[in-house]
Amino acid sequence: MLAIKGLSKTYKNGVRALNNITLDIPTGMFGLLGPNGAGKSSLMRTLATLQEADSGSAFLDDINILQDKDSLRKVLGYLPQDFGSYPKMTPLDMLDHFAILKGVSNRSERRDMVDSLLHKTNLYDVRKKAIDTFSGGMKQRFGIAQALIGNPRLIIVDEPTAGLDPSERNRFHNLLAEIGENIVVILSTHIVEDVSDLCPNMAIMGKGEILLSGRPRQVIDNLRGHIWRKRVKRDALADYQQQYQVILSHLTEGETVIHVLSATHPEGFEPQEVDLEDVYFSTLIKHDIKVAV
Amino acid sequence: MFWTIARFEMNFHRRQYLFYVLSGVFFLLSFLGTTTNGVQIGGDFSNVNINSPYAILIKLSTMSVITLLGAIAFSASGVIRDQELKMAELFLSTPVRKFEYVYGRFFGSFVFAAGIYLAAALGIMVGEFMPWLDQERLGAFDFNAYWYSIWLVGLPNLFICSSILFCIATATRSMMATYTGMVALLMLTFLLETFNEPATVETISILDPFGATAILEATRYWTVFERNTLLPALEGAFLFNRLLWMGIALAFLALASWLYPFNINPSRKQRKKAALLDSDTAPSAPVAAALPAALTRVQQQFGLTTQWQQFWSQTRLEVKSIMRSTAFLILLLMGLVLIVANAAGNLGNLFGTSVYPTTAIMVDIINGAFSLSLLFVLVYYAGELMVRERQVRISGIVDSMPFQNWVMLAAKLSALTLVIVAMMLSAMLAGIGVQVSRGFYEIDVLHYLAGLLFFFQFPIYLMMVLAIFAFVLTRNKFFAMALMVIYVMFLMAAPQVGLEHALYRMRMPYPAYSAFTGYGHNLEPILWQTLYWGLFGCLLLLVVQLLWPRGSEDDWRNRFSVARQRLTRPMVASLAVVSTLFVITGGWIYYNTNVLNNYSTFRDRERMQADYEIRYQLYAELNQPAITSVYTEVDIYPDTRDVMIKGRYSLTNRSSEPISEIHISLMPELDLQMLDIPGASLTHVEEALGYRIYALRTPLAAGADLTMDFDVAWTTPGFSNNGHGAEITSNGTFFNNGAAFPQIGYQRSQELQDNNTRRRFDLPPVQRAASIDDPDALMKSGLGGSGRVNFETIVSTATGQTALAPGYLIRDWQENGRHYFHYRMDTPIWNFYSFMSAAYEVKKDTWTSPAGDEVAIEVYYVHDYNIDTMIRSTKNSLDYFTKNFSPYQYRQFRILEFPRFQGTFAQAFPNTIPFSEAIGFIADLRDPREIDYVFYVTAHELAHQWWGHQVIGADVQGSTMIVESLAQYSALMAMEREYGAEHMQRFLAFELDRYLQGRGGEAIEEMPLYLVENQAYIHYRKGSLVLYAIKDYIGEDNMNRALADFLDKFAFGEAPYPTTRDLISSIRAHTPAEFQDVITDMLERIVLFDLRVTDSQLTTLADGRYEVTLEISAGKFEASGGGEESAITINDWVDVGVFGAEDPLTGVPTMLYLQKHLINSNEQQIVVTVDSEPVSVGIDPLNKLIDRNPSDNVVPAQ
Repeated sequence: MLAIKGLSKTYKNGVRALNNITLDIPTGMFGLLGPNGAGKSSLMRTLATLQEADSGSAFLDDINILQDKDSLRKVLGYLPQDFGSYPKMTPLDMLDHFAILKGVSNRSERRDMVDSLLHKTNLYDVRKKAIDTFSGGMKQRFGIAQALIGNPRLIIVDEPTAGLDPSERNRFHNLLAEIGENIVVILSTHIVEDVSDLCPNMAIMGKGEILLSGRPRQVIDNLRGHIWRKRVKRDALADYQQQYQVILSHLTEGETVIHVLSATHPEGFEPQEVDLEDVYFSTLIKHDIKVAV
Repeated sequence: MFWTIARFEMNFHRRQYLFYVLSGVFFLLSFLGTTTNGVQIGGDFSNVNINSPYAILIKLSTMSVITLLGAIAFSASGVIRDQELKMAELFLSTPVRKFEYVYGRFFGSFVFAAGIYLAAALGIMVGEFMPWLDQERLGAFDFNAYWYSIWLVGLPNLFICSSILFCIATATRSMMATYTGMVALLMLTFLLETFNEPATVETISILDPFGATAILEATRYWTVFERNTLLPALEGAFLFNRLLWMGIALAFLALASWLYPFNINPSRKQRKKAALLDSDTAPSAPVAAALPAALTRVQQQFGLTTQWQQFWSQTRLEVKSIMRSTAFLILLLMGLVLIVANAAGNLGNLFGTSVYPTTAIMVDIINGAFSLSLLFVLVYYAGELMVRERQVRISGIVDSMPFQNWVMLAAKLSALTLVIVAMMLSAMLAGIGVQVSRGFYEIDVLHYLAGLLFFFQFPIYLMMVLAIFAFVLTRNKFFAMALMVIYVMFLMAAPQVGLEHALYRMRMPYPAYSAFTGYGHNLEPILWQTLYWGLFGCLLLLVVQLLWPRGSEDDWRNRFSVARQRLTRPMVASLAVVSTLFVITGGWIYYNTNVLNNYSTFRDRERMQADYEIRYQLYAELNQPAITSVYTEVDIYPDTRDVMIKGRYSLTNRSSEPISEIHISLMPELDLQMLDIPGASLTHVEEALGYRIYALRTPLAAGADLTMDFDVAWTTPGFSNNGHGAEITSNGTFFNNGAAFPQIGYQRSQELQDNNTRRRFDLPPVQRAASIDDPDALMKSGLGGSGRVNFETIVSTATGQTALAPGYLIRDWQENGRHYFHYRMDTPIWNFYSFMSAAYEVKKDTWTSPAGDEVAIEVYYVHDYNIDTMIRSTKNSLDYFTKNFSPYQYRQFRILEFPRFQGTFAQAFPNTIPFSEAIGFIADLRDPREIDYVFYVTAHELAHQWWGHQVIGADVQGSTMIVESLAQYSALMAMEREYGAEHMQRFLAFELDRYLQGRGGEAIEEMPLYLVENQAYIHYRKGSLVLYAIKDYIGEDNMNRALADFLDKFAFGEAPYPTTRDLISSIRAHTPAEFQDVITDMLERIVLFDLRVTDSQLTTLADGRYEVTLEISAGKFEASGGGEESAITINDWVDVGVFGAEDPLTGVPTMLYLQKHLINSNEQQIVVTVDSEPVSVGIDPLNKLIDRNPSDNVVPAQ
């Protein structure tokens, strides 16, 4: 289990990236949802030993992440938000090299592991092609392959699906879903489906704070009966936004559908079956965080 | 739209630190280059005004090359930045036309490149006004010099290079390729420089993209006056060079625009990517059902074995990425070309004659070729490797991997080292290639490896660590580079402010190698310094470990807290151990340099020289007794590098006044253990300056004698900061009495000679020689002051070595493991003698005079290549000199090789010629077309047995003409007899070039030959030219008779000694009336000619003969001592020559006609008829006269 207590971080330019974060993350897939600039990546980097915290603590079982970085790195798999590759290097080269860096010293064991990772991520056919020619999806699969090297007890995956097309994202989800349930996997994302598809536990982050945490089913239940829906004219949207707490609007068959948050049934609205998206946006609205909808 | 793009580009650079940092660095560099002596830009300008147009021009020209290093960051970055930041699409979707976009970009960045250059120019300009400058060396502020240099040289150079680099960047969109292009441009100029000889200079002037060669060529023969007042005219090769390269630049710009892919056509890389993408959109393979073996547990180990494995894997990765880059291959190739070219240039180092490519010389050549470029390569690659993970955005993954910091650091260090090692090894292969191609097979691979990978490279390795430290500290490529530049500037400038100690200034003298000693005597200090700085490097690396960037923290507070976390117990222990060893090694070095030895800086030694003069100059004219005989016992200890001297002088009062005080000067580093003058007491002693005064209880009456006994110890304890002198070595000791023996009276030779330095100590301008009219000075000889002495010595050395001194060997014997040699000279010699000791081979021969007297010839050598030439030269010269001048005064003539680090000269002592390993012994004389300078040097030194040892001038102006110019003349005549008159032209052309260049380096005033004040370019170079020319006018017999007369009158004479006036009157006595003016022009004035053939016409006559008509332009000038020339009327007899085809063996053209014609107007026509077909015709074709443009004297016959 990963226990985070009172973690804070202010950057030199005054931006408060993490504000007293306290969070217990059990084994299994954990979804960290939040808009850009919420502090997700700061938290991920801190947990991945790449960044110092001003105060607070973080423990993976008995490993003190902030103090004993070496120990954590031995059991960490990290897929950063945006990464590249050494020029002209192939997945085979890189995975082998990373495996060595991760202490997989036995040569045949290493070879078997790299092969099976290549198969598993469906990169075996391109194992001898340069990574810098890969498409986004292939690169992300390579990223997860390297994160799986060794016996990670903590896997951190930062915004892995941003920019992937639906089929690639689906494939990526399948990959993630296979990761064992006995280890902590943190998936940071701003895409709600990532969490609803994969995560038994989740939290929503904004302005460097944890705004909400729990199991998706449970947070959805909490909001049941508070979300209402209406088809509106496009030019009337501004009026509704003044009158109601509009949490999101989207287009359906050319018409604008809005969801509003309300404890009572507003006139002219019909009840909406609550999903995680409603939870996410209503949480943000409650905390006065504007997101381009 | 052009302006919008340009403004966009400018706004970008305006917001970057880079421009300001670079401007600051370049401003500072040129400011220091103007206001201090430590930083030299483009050379040493100490003999001209600090702000002379010439100095400004050369500095600004040099700065344009240096600025390129910074300018590249602007010129190339625009296009590459768009690519990296994926901005190109944004731009390209706006309605901008292609050329507007490309040139807008270029212009916007060029403005900033020009900006840093102008900052450099400003540095020089501001520097000119600094109050601490030597006001004597400041001319009026000359804005025109800046204007000219900036607009004709600096900005065009930047424009040319920026265009080429911009084009490369556009075509490749790779910073690496662009940088390689820059290094290639720089290497090209270095390469061209090696061919900068009169024969090729015209071509080089045009090819050099920086125009520097053209400028140097235009100013090659400029005198001080011209350098202080003139700028080269924009004409000839310079003009053509500027036009050509501006044209090339514009062509490159056009090419850049053409190459720029304006529509967003995918590059090849992107197409490949698309292809991959397609193959990947196949329906996703069913996810392996049997769940991955991968997630079954694997063994993870983090022991030492794994760490080594990690290190190797990372190193392999780094090395692979370097090796795969084309840039690296290009660098390697360029390096190789540089070496081969350098070898071609440097192996022919004396009068165009090659030396054998010994491994020692090849190592020196490689070092010379690589010293600068290796530093660029190193700093560049250090920057690349250090930021690579961040640049390719993989640092997040890599940094969170479980390896120790040292793994990454060590891998990067190893990869960098490998870059250097690879370059050095390929340089070695190129060197071996050069050796083999010249048929030289004594290849010493170990010497290569030691020289190239260790001795020469050690400072570079340390620089590498320093560069890494700078990167880790600043985490910014350009700041780190700026730090490195500042550090290198500190290394150069520190001695100027008296900071010289090896403990804080890493200055690893490359140990000189000699066939005598191997790496020899300064190996020990170098190894200690290596250890010391090596430990310092380790210490830095430990600090680097603590500060190693891992993760995304960049601010210092967090970096410190990370460093604290890394300060583990083993780390603290390592820091403690390394610092302790560092301090101990430093202590040992300090003990050696400051306790066992006296630590003194260059500045301290100047101060001592000044003090010596200030305190004791008043005794310069003090009446002192003359040394009349010398008996010494000199014990040389090669193993410990010590010499013990016991000596006895007989002193005689040759004056008419009694002498009551005897003054003794001794080199301060020597230990005077005993000095005994009967009846004298020491009344004054200043050890630090080596000055002692002894008072005689009873003054020494006129004509009376006394003896002086002394013991001197010359020891070399431990090692000193600057290294002990190279005189005493384990094999190959060579010193003379001036360096080791007490001298009588104040010694003018110890005074500061440089007027700039003298002004700093408020000393009057140096008097290089006493006036020729000074009657007192006529009583002193030019060598050894007071007269001749009887000489006898017993020299001992270790067994296995031969010890030598002037005189004849009376006896040698071995005793107590030492070898003793007893020498005595049976006729008096000057008080000027040498001692040598080495393990020698000997070759002996005999020369017999027509009268039947035998002279034993002995060559003591280590290299056997040219022994026979030396013996042949000795015999032939003895023939010529004894026949034409006077008999040889000794029964023996010995040539003794000495190690190259003691100098590259030969020196004539009585019957004894120390001759450097580096000049004659390794000359490669296999090509008969080249000048046989071994023959020449041997003849020159032998001639000194006459000019110097038989007759010497008084110690006044012109004295060295009698010694050196006459030796040059004698050697030329011996050479002419051996090789023929046609061969002399090449030699004289070299002499002319050296003389004319020497005038530009004159520090005080050029003197006419007869008043020469020990100025080498006059007494050697001009001496050769004019004496050979005079011989040509008055005839060899007349000339030699004049010299024989001079000898007859003055040889072996006592004071007063002759002057050049006596010599000239001897010559005039044998000169026909019509050539008396020639003597005046050549010996008593500074006269130059400008002779050229403006047109020639060839007609075949009816009888099959050929008639050549030459149109001649002739000018004659007289120069002042400062170099100001004025035209004078010409009325001289000048050679007109017609030549046929070249002799295929010697390369010398056959002479069809050579006659003197009277030239008495500035334009003249001459008609000559010859029998065979002429190939070329010329006026003064053999360069007998001094002509500033000797190359236009001969033209093809048309």
